[in-house]
Amino acid sequence: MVKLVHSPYPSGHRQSIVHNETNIRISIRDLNIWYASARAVKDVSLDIEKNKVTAIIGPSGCGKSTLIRAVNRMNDIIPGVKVKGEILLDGKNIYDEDIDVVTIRKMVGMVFQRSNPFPKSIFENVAYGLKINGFPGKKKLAERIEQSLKDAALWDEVKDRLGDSALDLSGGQQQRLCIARALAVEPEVVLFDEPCSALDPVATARIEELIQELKEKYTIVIVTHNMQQAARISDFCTFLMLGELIEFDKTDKIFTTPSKKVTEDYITGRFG
Amino acid sequence: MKRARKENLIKRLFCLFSLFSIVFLLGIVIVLFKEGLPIFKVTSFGKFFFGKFWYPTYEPPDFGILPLLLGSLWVTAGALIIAVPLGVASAVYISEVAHPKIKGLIKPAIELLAGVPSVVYGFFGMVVVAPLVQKFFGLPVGLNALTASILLGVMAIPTITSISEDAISSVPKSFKEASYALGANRWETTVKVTVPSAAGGISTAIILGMGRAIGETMTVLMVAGGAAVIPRSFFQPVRTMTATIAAEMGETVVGSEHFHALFAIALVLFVLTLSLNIGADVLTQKFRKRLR
Repeated sequence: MVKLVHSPYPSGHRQSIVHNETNIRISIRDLNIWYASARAVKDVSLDIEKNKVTAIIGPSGCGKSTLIRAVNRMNDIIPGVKVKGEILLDGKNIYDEDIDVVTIRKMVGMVFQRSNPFPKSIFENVAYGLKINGFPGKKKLAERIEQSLKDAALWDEVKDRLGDSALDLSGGQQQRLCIARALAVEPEVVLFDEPCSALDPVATARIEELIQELKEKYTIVIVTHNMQQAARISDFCTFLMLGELIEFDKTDKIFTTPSKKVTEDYITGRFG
Repeated sequence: MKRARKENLIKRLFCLFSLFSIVFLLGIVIVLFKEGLPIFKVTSFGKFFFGKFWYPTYEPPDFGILPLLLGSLWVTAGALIIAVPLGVASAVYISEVAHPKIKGLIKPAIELLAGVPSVVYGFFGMVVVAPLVQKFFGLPVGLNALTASILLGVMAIPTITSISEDAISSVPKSFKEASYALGANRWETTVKVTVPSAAGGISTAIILGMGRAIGETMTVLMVAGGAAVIPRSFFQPVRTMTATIAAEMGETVVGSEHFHALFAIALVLFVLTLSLNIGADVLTQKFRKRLR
Protein backbone atom coordinates (compact mmCIF):
# COMPACT_ATOMS: atom_id res chain seq x y z
CA MET A 1 0.00 0.00 0.00
CA VAL A 2 1.18 3.50 -0.72
CA LYS A 3 2.54 5.33 2.25
CA LEU A 4 1.84 8.98 2.01
CA VAL A 5 4.47 11.36 3.19
CA HIS A 6 2.55 14.10 4.84
CA SER A 7 3.21 17.65 3.89
CA PRO A 8 3.15 20.06 6.82
CA TYR A 9 -0.24 20.25 8.45
CA PRO A 10 -2.67 22.81 7.18
CA SER A 11 -3.05 25.73 9.49
CA GLY A 12 -5.46 25.48 12.39
CA HIS A 13 -5.33 23.15 15.33
CA ARG A 14 -2.15 21.43 14.51
CA GLN A 15 -0.17 20.16 17.39
CA SER A 16 3.52 19.77 17.20
CA ILE A 17 4.09 16.12 17.90
CA VAL A 18 6.91 14.06 16.65
CA HIS A 19 5.62 10.94 14.98
CA ASN A 20 7.65 8.39 13.24
CA GLU A 21 6.03 9.05 9.86
CA THR A 22 6.28 5.52 8.55
CA ASN A 23 4.41 4.22 11.54
CA ILE A 24 1.31 6.27 10.92
CA ARG A 25 -1.72 4.14 10.19
CA ILE A 26 -4.52 6.70 10.28
CA SER A 27 -4.32 10.38 9.45
CA ILE A 28 -7.30 12.54 10.18
CA ARG A 29 -7.18 15.74 8.12
CA ASP A 30 -9.38 18.78 8.80
CA LEU A 31 -12.31 16.63 9.76
CA ASN A 32 -15.69 18.31 10.23
CA ILE A 33 -18.87 16.46 11.08
CA TRP A 34 -22.36 17.88 11.23
CA TYR A 35 -25.55 16.41 12.66
CA ALA A 36 -28.15 18.24 10.59
CA SER A 37 -26.86 21.78 11.18
CA ALA A 38 -24.97 21.24 14.45
CA ARG A 39 -21.25 20.84 14.00
CA ALA A 40 -20.05 18.09 16.31
CA VAL A 41 -16.44 17.86 15.16
CA LYS A 42 -14.52 20.97 14.13
CA ASP A 43 -11.38 20.97 11.98
CA VAL A 44 -9.79 18.04 13.75
CA SER A 45 -6.43 16.79 12.48
CA LEU A 46 -4.39 14.06 14.11
CA ASP A 47 -2.23 11.07 13.29
CA ILE A 48 -2.68 7.66 14.82
CA GLU A 49 0.33 5.41 15.08
CA LYS A 50 0.49 1.74 14.30
CA ASN A 51 0.54 -0.68 17.26
CA LYS A 52 -0.11 2.06 19.74
CA VAL A 53 -3.10 2.94 21.86
CA THR A 54 -4.49 6.38 21.11
CA ALA A 55 -7.02 7.65 23.61
CA ILE A 56 -9.63 10.33 22.98
CA ILE A 57 -10.77 12.09 26.12
CA GLY A 58 -12.99 15.05 26.86
CA PRO A 59 -16.21 16.05 28.60
CA SER A 60 -19.57 14.57 27.58
CA GLY A 61 -20.84 15.80 24.25
CA CYS A 62 -17.42 16.91 23.07
CA GLY A 63 -17.62 14.83 19.91
CA LYS A 64 -15.45 11.91 21.05
CA SER A 65 -17.85 9.23 19.89
CA THR A 66 -18.66 11.06 16.68
CA LEU A 67 -14.97 11.29 15.91
CA ILE A 68 -14.19 7.64 16.57
CA ARG A 69 -17.27 6.49 14.65
CA ALA A 70 -16.04 8.46 11.67
CA VAL A 71 -13.00 6.18 11.44
CA ASN A 72 -15.04 3.15 10.31
CA ARG A 73 -17.82 5.25 8.79
CA MET A 74 -20.40 4.15 11.36
CA ASN A 75 -21.84 7.65 11.16
CA ASP A 76 -23.05 6.75 7.67
CA ILE A 77 -26.01 4.87 9.10
CA ILE A 78 -27.28 7.90 11.01
CA PRO A 79 -29.50 10.00 8.77
CA GLY A 80 -28.50 13.64 8.36
CA VAL A 81 -24.80 13.28 9.12
CA LYS A 82 -22.42 15.23 6.90
CA VAL A 83 -18.67 14.67 6.86
CA LYS A 84 -16.06 16.99 5.40
CA GLY A 85 -12.34 16.42 5.45
CA GLU A 86 -10.25 13.32 5.08
CA ILE A 87 -9.42 10.23 7.03
CA LEU A 88 -6.47 8.46 5.48
CA LEU A 89 -6.15 4.79 6.29
CA ASP A 90 -2.72 3.66 5.14
CA GLY A 91 -2.69 6.72 2.92
CA LYS A 92 -6.07 6.20 1.27
CA ASN A 93 -9.01 8.46 2.08
CA ILE A 94 -11.84 6.30 3.39
CA TYR A 95 -14.37 8.94 2.39
CA ASP A 96 -13.37 8.76 -1.28
CA GLU A 97 -16.25 7.87 -3.55
CA ASP A 98 -14.66 4.71 -4.89
CA ILE A 99 -14.21 3.25 -1.41
CA ASP A 100 -16.38 0.30 -0.41
CA VAL A 101 -17.59 0.97 3.11
CA VAL A 102 -17.76 -2.77 3.80
CA THR A 103 -14.01 -3.10 3.18
CA ILE A 104 -13.35 -0.22 5.56
CA ARG A 105 -15.42 -1.78 8.31
CA LYS A 106 -13.61 -5.06 7.90
CA MET A 107 -10.27 -3.31 8.24
CA VAL A 108 -11.45 -1.16 11.13
CA GLY A 109 -13.30 -3.14 13.77
CA MET A 110 -15.35 -1.61 16.56
CA VAL A 111 -16.33 -2.40 20.12
CA PHE A 112 -19.23 -0.43 21.51
CA GLN A 113 -20.11 1.27 24.75
CA ARG A 114 -22.67 -1.29 25.82
CA SER A 115 -21.81 -4.89 25.08
CA ASN A 116 -24.08 -5.92 22.25
CA PRO A 117 -23.75 -9.62 21.51
CA PHE A 118 -26.40 -10.97 19.15
CA PRO A 119 -29.07 -13.16 20.74
CA LYS A 120 -27.27 -16.18 19.30
CA SER A 121 -24.81 -18.72 20.66
CA ILE A 122 -21.28 -17.73 21.64
CA PHE A 123 -19.96 -19.59 18.60
CA GLU A 124 -22.41 -17.93 16.22
CA ASN A 125 -21.55 -14.49 17.56
CA VAL A 126 -17.90 -14.85 16.68
CA ALA A 127 -18.69 -16.68 13.44
CA TYR A 128 -21.04 -13.97 12.21
CA GLY A 129 -18.45 -11.64 10.70
CA LEU A 130 -16.60 -14.53 9.10
CA LYS A 131 -19.75 -15.97 7.59
CA ILE A 132 -20.97 -12.77 6.01
CA ASN A 133 -17.54 -12.19 4.53
CA GLY A 134 -17.54 -15.57 2.87
CA PHE A 135 -17.70 -18.84 4.74
CA PRO A 136 -14.12 -20.03 5.19
CA GLY A 137 -14.97 -23.70 5.68
CA LYS A 138 -15.90 -25.52 8.84
CA LYS A 139 -12.46 -26.35 10.14
CA LYS A 140 -10.98 -22.96 9.39
CA LEU A 141 -14.01 -21.31 10.96
CA ALA A 142 -13.58 -23.25 14.20
CA GLU A 143 -9.88 -22.39 14.30
CA ARG A 144 -10.48 -18.71 13.74
CA ILE A 145 -13.15 -18.65 16.41
CA GLU A 146 -10.86 -20.34 18.90
CA GLN A 147 -8.03 -17.94 18.07
CA SER A 148 -10.28 -14.88 18.37
CA LEU A 149 -11.66 -16.03 21.69
CA LYS A 150 -8.12 -16.66 22.92
CA ASP A 151 -7.02 -13.21 21.74
CA ALA A 152 -9.95 -11.74 23.63
CA ALA A 153 -8.99 -13.71 26.76
CA LEU A 154 -12.33 -15.45 26.85
CA TRP A 155 -11.51 -18.92 25.51
CA ASP A 156 -10.84 -20.62 28.83
CA GLU A 157 -14.13 -19.42 30.25
CA VAL A 158 -16.31 -20.48 27.35
CA LYS A 159 -14.55 -23.31 25.52
CA ASP A 160 -16.91 -25.93 26.98
CA ARG A 161 -20.06 -24.04 26.20
CA LEU A 162 -19.70 -22.44 22.83
CA GLY A 163 -23.27 -23.43 22.03
CA ASP A 164 -24.76 -21.49 24.94
CA SER A 165 -26.52 -18.21 24.39
CA ALA A 166 -24.19 -15.23 24.50
CA LEU A 167 -26.74 -13.47 26.69
CA ASP A 168 -26.01 -15.91 29.53
CA LEU A 169 -22.51 -14.46 29.91
CA SER A 170 -21.67 -11.77 32.46
CA GLY A 171 -21.31 -8.14 31.36
CA GLY A 172 -17.52 -8.30 31.21
CA GLN A 173 -17.56 -11.61 29.36
CA GLN A 174 -20.09 -10.22 26.89
CA GLN A 175 -17.80 -7.29 26.19
CA ARG A 176 -14.84 -9.61 25.65
CA LEU A 177 -17.06 -11.66 23.34
CA CYS A 178 -17.74 -8.50 21.36
CA ILE A 179 -13.99 -7.94 21.18
CA ALA A 180 -13.50 -11.51 19.94
CA ARG A 181 -16.24 -10.95 17.38
CA ALA A 182 -14.47 -7.83 16.13
CA LEU A 183 -11.07 -9.58 16.03
CA ALA A 184 -12.41 -12.57 14.11
CA VAL A 185 -12.56 -10.67 10.82
CA GLU A 186 -8.86 -9.80 11.26
CA PRO A 187 -9.03 -6.01 11.25
CA GLU A 188 -5.96 -3.79 11.32
CA VAL A 189 -7.45 -1.18 13.59
CA VAL A 190 -9.81 -1.70 16.52
CA LEU A 191 -11.93 1.16 17.80
CA PHE A 192 -13.22 1.07 21.36
CA ASP A 193 -16.05 3.46 22.15
CA GLU A 194 -16.08 3.69 25.96
CA PRO A 195 -15.83 -0.09 26.26
CA CYS A 196 -15.83 -0.16 30.06
CA SER A 197 -18.48 2.38 30.90
CA ALA A 198 -21.00 -0.33 31.84
CA LEU A 199 -18.54 -2.63 33.61
CA ASP A 200 -17.44 -3.10 37.19
CA PRO A 201 -13.80 -2.38 38.18
CA VAL A 202 -12.68 -6.00 37.94
CA ALA A 203 -14.11 -6.47 34.46
CA THR A 204 -12.70 -3.08 33.49
CA ALA A 205 -9.22 -4.11 34.60
CA ARG A 206 -9.42 -7.23 32.44
CA ILE A 207 -10.41 -5.25 29.37
CA GLU A 208 -7.61 -2.75 29.99
CA GLU A 209 -5.11 -5.54 30.31
CA LEU A 210 -6.46 -7.04 27.11
CA ILE A 211 -6.12 -3.77 25.22
CA GLN A 212 -2.46 -3.67 26.24
CA GLU A 213 -1.97 -7.12 24.74
CA LEU A 214 -3.93 -6.32 21.61
CA LYS A 215 -1.74 -3.43 20.61
CA GLU A 216 0.97 -5.91 19.72
CA LYS A 217 -1.14 -6.93 16.75
CA TYR A 218 -3.51 -4.05 16.20
CA THR A 219 -3.71 -0.30 16.12
CA ILE A 220 -6.07 0.84 18.84
CA VAL A 221 -8.17 3.93 19.30
CA ILE A 222 -10.19 4.25 22.48
CA VAL A 223 -12.72 6.80 23.59
CA THR A 224 -13.05 7.11 27.32
CA HIS A 225 -14.38 9.59 29.81
CA ASN A 226 -12.29 7.99 32.48
CA MET A 227 -9.04 9.96 32.57
CA GLN A 228 -7.25 7.45 34.77
CA GLN A 229 -8.03 4.83 32.20
CA ALA A 230 -6.57 6.96 29.44
CA ALA A 231 -3.47 7.56 31.55
CA ARG A 232 -3.10 3.85 32.31
CA ILE A 233 -3.49 2.34 28.90
CA SER A 234 -2.76 4.85 26.16
CA ASP A 235 0.44 5.89 24.41
CA PHE A 236 -1.06 8.99 22.86
CA CYS A 237 -3.88 11.09 24.09
CA THR A 238 -6.23 13.54 22.41
CA PHE A 239 -8.17 16.08 24.41
CA LEU A 240 -11.35 17.20 22.71
CA MET A 241 -13.72 19.94 23.83
CA LEU A 242 -16.87 21.18 22.09
CA GLY A 243 -15.79 19.36 18.95
CA GLU A 244 -12.37 20.98 18.82
CA LEU A 245 -9.05 19.28 19.31
CA ILE A 246 -7.46 21.13 22.19
CA GLU A 247 -4.34 19.09 22.66
CA PHE A 248 -2.80 15.96 21.21
CA ASP A 249 0.40 14.51 22.55
CA LYS A 250 2.11 11.61 24.18
CA THR A 251 0.02 10.49 27.10
CA ASP A 252 2.67 11.06 29.77
CA LYS A 253 3.17 14.57 28.49
CA ILE A 254 -0.56 15.35 28.55
CA PHE A 255 -0.89 14.08 32.09
CA THR A 256 2.26 15.67 33.47
CA THR A 257 2.96 18.85 31.57
CA PRO A 258 0.03 19.74 29.34
CA SER A 259 0.69 22.75 27.18
CA LYS A 260 -2.79 24.22 27.48
CA LYS A 261 -4.39 25.57 30.61
CA VAL A 262 -7.79 24.07 29.76
CA THR A 263 -6.28 20.58 29.37
CA GLU A 264 -4.74 20.90 32.79
CA ASP A 265 -8.02 22.08 34.25
CA TYR A 266 -9.82 19.10 32.76
CA ILE A 267 -7.36 16.40 33.76
CA THR A 268 -7.08 17.76 37.26
CA GLY A 269 -10.85 17.60 37.55
CA ARG A 270 -11.61 21.28 37.70
CA PHE A 271 -14.46 20.71 35.27
CA GLY A 272 -15.93 17.94 33.12
CA MET B 1 -61.81 12.20 54.95
CA LYS B 2 -64.60 12.87 52.55
CA ARG B 3 -62.17 13.04 49.67
CA ALA B 4 -60.60 9.73 50.58
CA ARG B 5 -64.01 8.09 50.62
CA LYS B 6 -64.82 9.52 47.24
CA GLU B 7 -61.58 8.22 45.80
CA ASN B 8 -62.21 4.84 47.29
CA LEU B 9 -65.64 4.76 45.70
CA ILE B 10 -64.27 5.65 42.31
CA LYS B 11 -61.62 2.99 42.66
CA ARG B 12 -64.24 0.35 43.40
CA LEU B 13 -66.36 1.50 40.51
CA PHE B 14 -63.54 1.13 38.02
CA CYS B 15 -62.64 -2.22 39.49
CA LEU B 16 -66.23 -3.30 38.89
CA PHE B 17 -66.09 -2.17 35.27
CA SER B 18 -62.92 -4.11 34.63
CA LEU B 19 -64.37 -7.21 36.29
CA PHE B 20 -67.20 -7.05 33.81
CA SER B 21 -65.22 -8.71 31.03
CA ILE B 22 -64.06 -11.45 33.35
CA VAL B 23 -67.65 -12.11 34.40
CA PHE B 24 -68.60 -12.32 30.76
CA LEU B 25 -65.79 -14.71 29.95
CA LEU B 26 -66.72 -16.90 32.88
CA GLY B 27 -70.34 -16.89 31.73
CA ILE B 28 -69.33 -18.04 28.28
CA VAL B 29 -67.12 -20.80 29.60
CA ILE B 30 -69.82 -22.05 31.95
CA VAL B 31 -72.47 -22.10 29.22
CA LEU B 32 -70.11 -23.82 26.77
CA PHE B 33 -69.39 -26.60 29.23
CA LYS B 34 -72.98 -26.89 30.45
CA GLU B 35 -74.48 -27.07 26.97
CA GLY B 36 -71.62 -28.83 25.22
CA LEU B 37 -70.80 -31.72 27.54
CA PRO B 38 -74.25 -33.42 27.42
CA ILE B 39 -73.51 -34.55 23.84
CA PHE B 40 -71.12 -37.12 25.26
CA LYS B 41 -74.06 -38.89 26.85
CA VAL B 42 -75.28 -39.65 23.33
CA THR B 43 -72.03 -40.20 21.50
CA SER B 44 -68.61 -41.26 22.68
CA PHE B 45 -65.56 -39.03 22.85
CA GLY B 46 -63.85 -40.99 20.11
CA LYS B 47 -66.87 -40.97 17.83
CA PHE B 48 -67.28 -37.23 18.28
CA PHE B 49 -63.69 -36.31 17.49
CA PHE B 50 -62.85 -39.03 15.00
CA GLY B 51 -66.23 -39.74 13.43
CA LYS B 52 -66.02 -39.15 9.72
CA PHE B 53 -69.61 -38.13 9.24
CA TRP B 54 -71.51 -35.09 10.32
CA TYR B 55 -75.20 -35.89 9.66
CA PRO B 56 -76.88 -34.24 12.63
CA THR B 57 -80.40 -34.47 11.20
CA TYR B 58 -80.31 -38.12 10.08
CA GLU B 59 -82.03 -40.83 12.03
CA PRO B 60 -79.97 -41.97 13.87
CA PRO B 61 -77.78 -38.85 13.65
CA ASP B 62 -73.99 -38.85 13.17
CA PHE B 63 -72.02 -36.35 15.23
CA GLY B 64 -68.51 -36.84 13.91
CA ILE B 65 -66.69 -33.51 13.76
CA LEU B 66 -63.53 -34.76 12.08
CA PRO B 67 -64.51 -33.28 8.66
CA LEU B 68 -65.28 -29.93 10.29
CA LEU B 69 -62.16 -29.92 12.45
CA LEU B 70 -59.99 -30.79 9.46
CA GLY B 71 -61.90 -28.29 7.34
CA SER B 72 -61.01 -25.54 9.80
CA LEU B 73 -57.37 -26.61 10.00
CA TRP B 74 -57.20 -27.01 6.23
CA VAL B 75 -58.33 -23.50 5.36
CA THR B 76 -56.26 -22.08 8.23
CA ALA B 77 -53.14 -23.80 6.95
CA GLY B 78 -53.88 -22.46 3.48
CA ALA B 79 -54.41 -19.00 4.90
CA LEU B 80 -51.06 -19.13 6.73
CA ILE B 81 -49.24 -20.23 3.59
CA ILE B 82 -50.46 -16.99 2.06
CA ALA B 83 -50.41 -14.67 5.04
CA VAL B 84 -47.08 -15.54 6.68
CA PRO B 85 -44.78 -14.66 3.78
CA LEU B 86 -46.82 -11.63 2.80
CA GLY B 87 -47.34 -10.42 6.36
CA VAL B 88 -43.76 -10.87 7.54
CA ALA B 89 -42.31 -9.46 4.33
CA SER B 90 -44.54 -6.39 4.67
CA ALA B 91 -43.42 -5.98 8.27
CA VAL B 92 -39.75 -6.16 7.28
CA TYR B 93 -40.34 -3.72 4.48
CA ILE B 94 -42.24 -1.27 6.66
CA SER B 95 -39.81 -1.26 9.55
CA GLU B 96 -36.46 -1.71 7.80
CA VAL B 97 -36.64 -0.63 4.20
CA ALA B 98 -39.47 1.75 3.41
CA HIS B 99 -38.95 5.46 3.18
CA PRO B 100 -40.96 7.19 5.97
CA LYS B 101 -43.39 8.58 3.41
CA ILE B 102 -44.12 5.18 1.90
CA LYS B 103 -44.34 3.71 5.38
CA GLY B 104 -46.94 6.36 6.22
CA LEU B 105 -48.99 5.12 3.30
CA ILE B 106 -48.64 1.34 3.58
CA LYS B 107 -48.99 0.97 7.32
CA PRO B 108 -52.45 2.57 7.60
CA ALA B 109 -53.54 0.72 4.45
CA ILE B 110 -52.69 -2.63 5.99
CA GLU B 111 -54.33 -1.65 9.25
CA LEU B 112 -57.43 -0.66 7.30
CA LEU B 113 -57.64 -4.23 6.00
CA ALA B 114 -58.34 -5.27 9.58
CA GLY B 115 -61.27 -2.89 9.74
CA VAL B 116 -63.16 -4.33 6.76
CA PRO B 117 -66.19 -6.31 8.05
CA SER B 118 -65.89 -10.02 7.39
CA VAL B 119 -69.19 -10.11 5.50
CA VAL B 120 -67.65 -7.70 3.02
CA TYR B 121 -64.71 -10.05 2.56
CA GLY B 122 -67.19 -12.86 2.03
CA PHE B 123 -69.13 -10.87 -0.51
CA PHE B 124 -65.97 -9.87 -2.33
CA GLY B 125 -64.92 -13.50 -2.27
CA MET B 126 -68.15 -14.75 -3.79
CA VAL B 127 -68.31 -12.12 -6.48
CA VAL B 128 -64.66 -11.65 -7.42
CA VAL B 129 -62.26 -14.23 -5.99
CA ALA B 130 -64.36 -17.38 -6.46
CA PRO B 131 -65.03 -16.84 -10.19
CA LEU B 132 -61.34 -16.03 -10.71
CA VAL B 133 -60.23 -19.19 -8.91
CA GLN B 134 -62.79 -21.23 -10.84
CA LYS B 135 -61.64 -19.89 -14.18
CA PHE B 136 -57.93 -19.98 -13.45
CA PHE B 137 -57.88 -23.59 -12.30
CA GLY B 138 -60.78 -24.76 -14.51
CA LEU B 139 -62.91 -26.01 -11.62
CA PRO B 140 -66.59 -26.86 -11.50
CA VAL B 141 -67.10 -24.53 -8.54
CA GLY B 142 -65.23 -21.49 -7.27
CA LEU B 143 -66.46 -21.76 -3.70
CA ASN B 144 -63.83 -24.04 -2.20
CA ALA B 145 -60.99 -24.33 0.30
CA LEU B 146 -58.61 -22.33 -1.87
CA THR B 147 -60.91 -19.33 -2.13
CA ALA B 148 -61.51 -19.46 1.61
CA SER B 149 -57.76 -19.70 2.26
CA ILE B 150 -57.02 -16.71 0.07
CA LEU B 151 -59.56 -14.55 1.85
CA LEU B 152 -58.61 -15.73 5.33
CA GLY B 153 -55.01 -15.13 4.41
CA VAL B 154 -55.71 -11.55 3.47
CA MET B 155 -57.69 -11.13 6.67
CA ALA B 156 -54.81 -12.46 8.79
CA ILE B 157 -52.21 -10.21 7.17
CA PRO B 158 -52.91 -7.10 9.31
CA THR B 159 -52.51 -9.09 12.53
CA ILE B 160 -49.28 -10.69 11.38
CA THR B 161 -47.85 -7.52 9.90
CA SER B 162 -48.53 -5.13 12.74
CA ILE B 163 -47.31 -7.45 15.51
CA SER B 164 -44.25 -8.53 13.51
CA GLU B 165 -43.47 -4.93 12.75
CA ASP B 166 -43.58 -4.05 16.45
CA ALA B 167 -41.21 -6.91 17.15
CA ILE B 168 -38.82 -6.00 14.36
CA SER B 169 -38.66 -2.33 15.20
CA SER B 170 -38.03 -3.10 18.87
CA VAL B 171 -34.81 -4.95 18.06
CA PRO B 172 -32.12 -2.83 19.73
CA LYS B 173 -30.18 -0.54 17.43
CA SER B 174 -26.97 -1.85 18.98
CA PHE B 175 -27.45 -5.25 17.29
CA LYS B 176 -27.63 -3.60 13.90
CA GLU B 177 -24.63 -1.41 14.67
CA ALA B 178 -22.60 -4.45 15.65
CA SER B 179 -23.54 -6.12 12.40
CA TYR B 180 -22.68 -3.10 10.27
CA ALA B 181 -19.38 -2.71 12.11
CA LEU B 182 -18.44 -6.24 11.07
CA GLY B 183 -18.85 -5.32 7.43
CA ALA B 184 -22.40 -6.56 6.89
CA ASN B 185 -24.60 -4.64 4.50
CA ARG B 186 -28.20 -3.68 5.15
CA TRP B 187 -29.66 -6.82 3.63
CA GLU B 188 -27.38 -9.16 5.60
CA THR B 189 -28.09 -7.24 8.77
CA THR B 190 -31.84 -7.47 8.25
CA VAL B 191 -31.91 -11.15 7.35
CA LYS B 192 -29.25 -12.47 9.70
CA VAL B 193 -29.57 -10.21 12.74
CA THR B 194 -32.72 -8.12 12.88
CA VAL B 195 -35.31 -10.69 11.83
CA PRO B 196 -33.85 -13.60 13.86
CA SER B 197 -33.70 -11.31 16.90
CA ALA B 198 -37.40 -10.61 16.43
CA ALA B 199 -38.24 -14.29 15.91
CA GLY B 200 -40.18 -14.55 19.17
CA GLY B 201 -42.41 -11.64 18.30
CA ILE B 202 -42.89 -12.86 14.75
CA SER B 203 -43.97 -16.30 16.03
CA THR B 204 -46.45 -14.59 18.32
CA ALA B 205 -47.76 -12.68 15.33
CA ILE B 206 -48.18 -15.86 13.31
CA ILE B 207 -50.00 -17.63 16.12
CA LEU B 208 -52.38 -14.73 16.59
CA GLY B 209 -52.92 -14.60 12.83
CA MET B 210 -53.74 -18.29 12.99
CA GLY B 211 -56.25 -17.61 15.74
CA ARG B 212 -57.80 -14.96 13.57
CA ALA B 213 -58.17 -17.39 10.67
CA ILE B 214 -59.47 -20.32 12.68
CA GLY B 215 -62.14 -18.26 14.42
CA GLU B 216 -63.38 -16.47 11.32
CA THR B 217 -66.98 -17.37 10.56
CA MET B 218 -68.85 -15.27 8.09
CA THR B 219 -66.31 -15.29 5.28
CA VAL B 220 -65.81 -19.05 5.31
CA LEU B 221 -69.55 -19.59 5.57
CA MET B 222 -69.94 -17.61 2.37
CA VAL B 223 -67.04 -18.87 0.28
CA ALA B 224 -65.76 -22.24 1.52
CA GLY B 225 -68.47 -24.23 -0.22
CA GLY B 226 -69.99 -25.85 2.85
CA ALA B 227 -69.43 -29.57 2.19
CA ALA B 228 -68.88 -31.45 5.44
CA VAL B 229 -66.38 -33.91 4.02
CA ILE B 230 -62.79 -34.63 4.94
CA PRO B 231 -60.70 -32.29 2.76
CA ARG B 232 -58.34 -33.96 0.30
CA SER B 233 -57.38 -31.01 -1.87
CA PHE B 234 -57.64 -27.25 -1.91
CA PHE B 235 -59.99 -27.37 -4.87
CA GLN B 236 -62.87 -28.99 -3.08
CA PRO B 237 -65.56 -27.35 -0.99
CA VAL B 238 -65.05 -27.66 2.76
CA ARG B 239 -66.96 -26.74 5.88
CA THR B 240 -65.36 -25.33 9.00
CA MET B 241 -66.47 -25.63 12.61
CA THR B 242 -67.39 -21.98 12.78
CA ALA B 243 -69.50 -22.10 9.61
CA THR B 244 -71.30 -25.19 10.89
CA ILE B 245 -72.33 -23.50 14.10
CA ALA B 246 -73.42 -20.35 12.31
CA ALA B 247 -75.39 -22.21 9.69
CA GLU B 248 -77.11 -24.74 11.92
CA MET B 249 -77.69 -23.04 15.24
CA GLY B 250 -80.77 -21.24 14.00
CA GLU B 251 -82.46 -24.45 12.91
CA THR B 252 -81.99 -26.66 15.91
CA VAL B 253 -84.37 -27.24 18.75
CA VAL B 254 -83.00 -25.82 21.97
CA GLY B 255 -81.87 -28.65 24.19
CA SER B 256 -81.77 -31.25 21.40
CA GLU B 257 -78.79 -33.51 20.71
CA HIS B 258 -77.90 -31.44 17.69
CA PHE B 259 -78.00 -28.31 19.86
CA HIS B 260 -75.59 -29.85 22.36
CA ALA B 261 -73.33 -31.07 19.55
CA LEU B 262 -73.00 -27.55 18.21
CA PHE B 263 -72.09 -26.29 21.67
CA ALA B 264 -69.49 -29.00 21.92
CA ILE B 265 -67.99 -27.76 18.64
CA ALA B 266 -67.93 -24.26 20.10
CA LEU B 267 -66.14 -25.68 23.13
CA VAL B 268 -63.51 -27.27 20.88
CA LEU B 269 -63.03 -23.97 19.08
CA PHE B 270 -62.74 -22.14 22.37
CA VAL B 271 -60.08 -24.51 23.70
CA LEU B 272 -58.21 -24.28 20.40
CA THR B 273 -58.11 -20.48 20.28
CA LEU B 274 -57.38 -20.26 24.00
CA SER B 275 -54.33 -22.46 23.63
CA LEU B 276 -53.18 -20.40 20.66
CA ASN B 277 -53.46 -17.25 22.73
CA ILE B 278 -51.63 -18.78 25.66
CA GLY B 279 -48.92 -20.00 23.30
CA ALA B 280 -48.56 -16.53 21.87
CA ASP B 281 -48.35 -15.08 25.36
CA VAL B 282 -45.66 -17.52 26.45
CA LEU B 283 -43.60 -16.69 23.37
CA THR B 284 -43.98 -12.97 23.99
CA GLN B 285 -42.72 -13.36 27.55
CA LYS B 286 -39.77 -15.42 26.41
CA PHE B 287 -38.99 -12.84 23.75
CA ARG B 288 -39.02 -9.98 26.26
CA LYS B 289 -36.68 -11.80 28.56
CA ARG B 290 -34.28 -12.52 25.75
CA LEU B 291 -33.93 -8.90 24.76
CA ARG B 292 -34.09 -7.59 28.32
